[in-house]
Amino acid sequence: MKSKFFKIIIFVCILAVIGIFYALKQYNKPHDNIRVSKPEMVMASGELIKAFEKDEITATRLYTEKIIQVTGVISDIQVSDDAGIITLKDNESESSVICHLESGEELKRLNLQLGQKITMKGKCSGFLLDVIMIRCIVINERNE
Amino acid sequence: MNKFYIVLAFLFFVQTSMAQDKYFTKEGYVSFFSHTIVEDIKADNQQVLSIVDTTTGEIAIQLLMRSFQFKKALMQEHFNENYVESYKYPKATFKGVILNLNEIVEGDFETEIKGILSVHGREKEVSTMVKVTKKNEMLILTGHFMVEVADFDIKIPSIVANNIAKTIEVSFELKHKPYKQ
Repeated sequence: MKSKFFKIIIFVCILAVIGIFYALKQYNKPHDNIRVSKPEMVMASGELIKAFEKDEITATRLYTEKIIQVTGVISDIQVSDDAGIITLKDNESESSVICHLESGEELKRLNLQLGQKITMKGKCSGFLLDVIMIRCIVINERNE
Repeated sequence: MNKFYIVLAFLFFVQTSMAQDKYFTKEGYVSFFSHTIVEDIKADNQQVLSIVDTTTGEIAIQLLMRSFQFKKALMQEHFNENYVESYKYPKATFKGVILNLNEIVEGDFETEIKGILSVHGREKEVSTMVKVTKKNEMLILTGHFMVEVADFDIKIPSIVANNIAKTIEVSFELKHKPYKQ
C-alpha cells in the first residue's frame, strides 16, 4: 500500500517537472530566425502590392505573420535611427513594399544601389499606404 | 479604412495652394510599456504612418498591430492572437488636432494634442501634452500618455492578470518630413 502511494507521488512529481520545463521553454522560446527559415511564400513585389490593393482583408489574412521572399526594384534606401529601410517600387501602383531590415543587416545595405533588383526575406505585418515587411534579410543582389 | 482615405484626401488635396504645410512619416515610432511587480513588458513599432497639416493642426496616425516587436516571442504571439486580436483588428488609428500648431515657426514648443484613439475596434477620446520640434525642415512630435486596457475591451486572462498592467504607457516619437507632391 505504502509503495503504491509512493509511486503515485513520484509520478506526480515527474509530471510537474515536465510541466514546468515545458512552460519555461514556451516562455523563453525565441523569435523565428528569419535568416535560416524557409520562406512560406515567394513572390514579386508587384504581386504582393496588388493582392493588398485588390482585397486588403483577404490579403491581411493570407500574408501577415508569414515569412515572405519578395523580389523587386529598389526605389529608395534610407537609415532610420540605426535601422535600414529599403523600398521596392511597383510601376503600376502608387504603393510600394517597404522592407525594414533586421538588425545586423545594415552593412550589406552599403553595397546596394537605386534601380537594382533585389530579393529579400522577411515578415509581412500588413498594409498601411504600402505593404510593410519587417525583420528583412537581403538574400541576393544583382544588377539589372 | 475609408475614413482614413477621406482624411488623407482632405489633407493632401483641399489646400494644395498653400506653401509647405503638410508633413508625413512612414517610419514613426510608437512603443508601449506595462509595469507590474511580476514583470515589465515593452513593445516597439517603428513603422508608424503619420500625416500632419500645420495650418489646421490636424493629424492622422495609423499603425499595424503586428509591427509591434516584443522581446519574448510568446508575449508577441499572445498579444496578437489573444489580446488585441490582430487578425480581426490589424490596425490602430489616431485622428485628432494639435492645438496652436500654426503658431510655431522654429524650435521647441509644448502644446496639447487631442483626438480619437481606436484600438481593437473600440474608440476612446485621448488628450495629452506633446512636444513639437520644428527644425531643419523636420517636424518632430514626442510625448507619452496612459491608456486603460479595459477601455478598449481587451480581455486579459486571470492567469496572467498579475503580469500585465491595467494601465499602459504609450510613447511616441514621430519625425515628419515635408510632404512633396
